[in-house]
Amino acid sequence: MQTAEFADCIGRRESIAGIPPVQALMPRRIEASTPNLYSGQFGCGAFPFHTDLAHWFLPPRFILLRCRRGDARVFTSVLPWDRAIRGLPTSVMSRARFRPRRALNGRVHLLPFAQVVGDTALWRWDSVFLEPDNHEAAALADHLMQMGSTGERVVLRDPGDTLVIDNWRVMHARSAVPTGARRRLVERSYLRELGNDGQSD
Amino acid sequence: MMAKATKVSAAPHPWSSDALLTKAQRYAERMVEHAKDDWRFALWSSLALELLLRAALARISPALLAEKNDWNNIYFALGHEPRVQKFVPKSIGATEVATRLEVILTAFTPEMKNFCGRHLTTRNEELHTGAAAFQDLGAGWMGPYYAACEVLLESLGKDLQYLFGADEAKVARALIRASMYESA
Repeated sequence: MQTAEFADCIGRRESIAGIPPVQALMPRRIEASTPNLYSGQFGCGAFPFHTDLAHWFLPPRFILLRCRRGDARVFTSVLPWDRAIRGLPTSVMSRARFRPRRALNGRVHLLPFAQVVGDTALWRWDSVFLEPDNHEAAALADHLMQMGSTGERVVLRDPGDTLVIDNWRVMHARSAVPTGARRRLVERSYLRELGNDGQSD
Repeated sequence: MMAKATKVSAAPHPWSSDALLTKAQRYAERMVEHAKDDWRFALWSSLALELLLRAALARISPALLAEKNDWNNIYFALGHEPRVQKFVPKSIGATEVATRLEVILTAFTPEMKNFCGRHLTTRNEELHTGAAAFQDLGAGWMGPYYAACEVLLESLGKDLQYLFGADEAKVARALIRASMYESA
């Protein structure tokens, strides 16, 4: 089963201008990538914990990662926000505010760390594409940069192995990719919701 | 597992309650960086107040902010891009925003509306004339200011601490109590 078909079976795909419905993710060296991508910042080194598209006002809710060609030496780490922010004062979490490192369409918009969306909420973090906009965000960024937690490790080893991440409630990271594992291929699709009737737009 | 569907969005609508409130918080932080007898404390307070008023009205609908003489403003407020060349969206004035909120929000009293009108008029004098309108303003305005902010914030599901930080929120509550005692 193709990843798009699989995604349609478990939820409703996002339609995002400029982003293919299914993206092929392969490790790349820094010089072979672009600075707006994590591989352009970290290459085959470890990716830090982050929210996908954290610099967007409303990042995609769910991330589907599906193995096409696995490698047991490479893993994805997932870390729920309630663990990541344990011990932080509530005032930091309620007031922390970020801004994107670069303007989007010529405009900069301010981004609360914790954001109510309908009857749920999202939390965001990205050490590369977000900048703290107040003291609380700077304190939060310090905490997250020095965080000891490594989260839960998930290995997408065999074709078809799939990981679905709630991007609003869980951060994720990728381990370093050793030289022999650079043919690893994972496909990614963003989902708006899970458990629907499979309609996509 | 069912999750409520929310489409991704790169940027918030500039008239959305969330965007206005987040920017109000930024202005409020600039405000409390200054001493209370510094004219800049009052200036930033007025800038934060306007955004807070607009955020409270936008929470009901951004369409309530649209200047009514051109329907494209309402169209823009509803999240569409008007097909007018070089379109610049126009919103209603802040005093009109306060007038609408007085009707809509039970807790937003006529006294609060009047205070907001006066404070924003002083702000306009500060910004658009040669007068140093916020110089030597005294402290009497602060209690009514924070009282209005508290009501507006409550309508947005927030509190004084969200906008001003924990320390200033304590001071603000004391000033509100003092102003209520004075006006009783």
